Amino acid sequence: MLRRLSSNDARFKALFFHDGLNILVADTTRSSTETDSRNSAGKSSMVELIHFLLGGSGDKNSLAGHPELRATTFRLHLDWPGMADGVTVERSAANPNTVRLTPRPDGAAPGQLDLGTAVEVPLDEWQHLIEHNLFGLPSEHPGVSGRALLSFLMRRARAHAFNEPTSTFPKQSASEAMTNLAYLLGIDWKLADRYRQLQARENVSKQLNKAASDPVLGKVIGQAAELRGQIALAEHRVAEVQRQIDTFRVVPEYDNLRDRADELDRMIRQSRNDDVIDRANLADIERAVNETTDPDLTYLEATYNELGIVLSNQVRRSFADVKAFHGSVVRNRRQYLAAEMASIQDRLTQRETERSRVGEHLAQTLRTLNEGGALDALTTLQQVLAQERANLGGLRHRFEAAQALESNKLQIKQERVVLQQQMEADLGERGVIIDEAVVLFNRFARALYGHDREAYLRLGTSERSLKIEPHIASDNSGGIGSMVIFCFDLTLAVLANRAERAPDFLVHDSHLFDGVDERQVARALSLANEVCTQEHLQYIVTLNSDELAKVAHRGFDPAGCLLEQRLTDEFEGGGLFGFRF
Amino acid sequence: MIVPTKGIAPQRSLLAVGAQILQILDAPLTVSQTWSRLRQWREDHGHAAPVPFWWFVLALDSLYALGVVDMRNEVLVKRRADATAPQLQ
Repeated sequence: MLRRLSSNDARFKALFFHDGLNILVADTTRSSTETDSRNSAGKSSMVELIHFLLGGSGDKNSLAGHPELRATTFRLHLDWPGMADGVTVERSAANPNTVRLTPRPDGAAPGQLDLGTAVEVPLDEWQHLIEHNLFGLPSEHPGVSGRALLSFLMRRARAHAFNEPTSTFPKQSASEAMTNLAYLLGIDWKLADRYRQLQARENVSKQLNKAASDPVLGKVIGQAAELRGQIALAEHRVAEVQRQIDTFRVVPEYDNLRDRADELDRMIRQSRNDDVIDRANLADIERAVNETTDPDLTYLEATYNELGIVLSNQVRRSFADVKAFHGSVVRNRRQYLAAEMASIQDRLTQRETERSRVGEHLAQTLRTLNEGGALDALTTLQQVLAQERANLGGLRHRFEAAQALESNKLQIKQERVVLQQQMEADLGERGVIIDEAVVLFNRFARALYGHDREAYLRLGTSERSLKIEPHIASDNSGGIGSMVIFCFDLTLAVLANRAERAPDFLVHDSHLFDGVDERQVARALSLANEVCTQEHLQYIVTLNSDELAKVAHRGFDPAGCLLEQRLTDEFEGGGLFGFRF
Repeated sequence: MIVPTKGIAPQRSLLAVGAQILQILDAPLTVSQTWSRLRQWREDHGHAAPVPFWWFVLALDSLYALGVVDMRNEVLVKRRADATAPQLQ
């Protein structure tokens, strides 16, 4: 039970709670004018502050994070299992990540900053203590959190928690809310949480599918069919390179051999050039030799004689002399030229032989070069092989991922069917527990609306989540909807408290009663009072004084239920905080 | 030049070339036709020593000086030497 809400600010109106029904009244004063309002007197702020002290958010959007309140330290004293005097928790939004606990509860790590009787613990440690000691959660509890559970026991008007009985804020996913409700109702919450896990997996799968169809991101994941083709290509390349490496023969001194081959080639070409020159020389010499052969000159004289010219003896002698002279020159020249020709022909033959020898050598060298390669060529090939293999491995992983992604949808669907069957079977086997909840809800609904109105709590399954549907027949009346929440919350609190799965308090804001017929409000408060006494529960509710007057008129006796501290609509100091901000 | 010397082979002497020209000039011929036939004749008879055109012209000049060729209407003709000039002898 919550015992005391206070602050280090003297203006703050400390609230002392007692067992059973607690009504915090917002009053009008005698000096109130028509324009004063009890709105913002601090009724909802009380709920916010209790949330803040029990591990809620302390950021600048929260009430405690308001600039005017940041420096204020708030204090809540509450019952704690195993501590006779309970525990006091202090927290300020100036230092939102730490709370101070007095005295140190069991389970808080002793290594924390120990201040004698008090201890400062980090916020997550405090949240863990709440989950463990107040809600009895095991250390591993995926899908169920103390904060979510507290939001059902203390619905926040700020978070629009009064819209739906089965959620505490509008965008809460059904699977998440149902897991927490299942815990409070005593249904297999681990089974219910599998809905949440499947939902999460489906969301991821959807995102990935979306990404896979994106032109850029799609390249990262790819389609299984496309990847299968790429893998086949990559395998082929790996095999090809592997084969090249297997048949590769390293030629020692590869570079030297190659240089040698070039050298031989150059030698052969040089030799051919030399041949050309020599042959030209040879032809020249041959022609020179031919030139020196003197044809017959006997026609000369006859020709001239025919024309009446007689060549003189001098002329005749000149021809004869020169012929003799030439004859001797030519003989010498012939000898010389013949020797020259012989030597050229010799050179040609020699070169021919040399060429065939070098050619043979060159052919052999080229064969060797052709059959293998240098060591660095092999190293390069091996690097290529390693790259191709890595590429292939990457493709295979992507293929597996893509395949898993494509089959995931189907798998989730199948798992959902199996889960639904299991959940259905589980609900069937927990008939006693469910009946208890159904009967309790029905009893509360009848206490408010009598026997005429159809009222039930239905627990069932669907493909996507556990289904918990509290229902009171109405024509979409907002007031009756609120009373569904009232009955449902009361059912949750009673059942969870009986099984010690939750602390023994339930807090409702006056917003819950907006638009509810005053007769039902009166009955609801009477019912709450009665249930609290029976079940040893604490029910804290805020009301405006005129509302209280109406319900008193309708037969509800508030005696012993009202808090001593009343809030008023006095503009400056009437509210919970004692000042306006 | 006209008769062979140490430097000029007998087959290149103007007298020899002139005789060759006279051999082919069996009918009136143009200069270019004579030149082309001369080259053919020398090739046919194995005269390998080069005879350029100007040498051929010199040979023609010496024949003219001997009075055995004449130019009539741009055509070379052969004639007996005693018909125009005194004999060399």
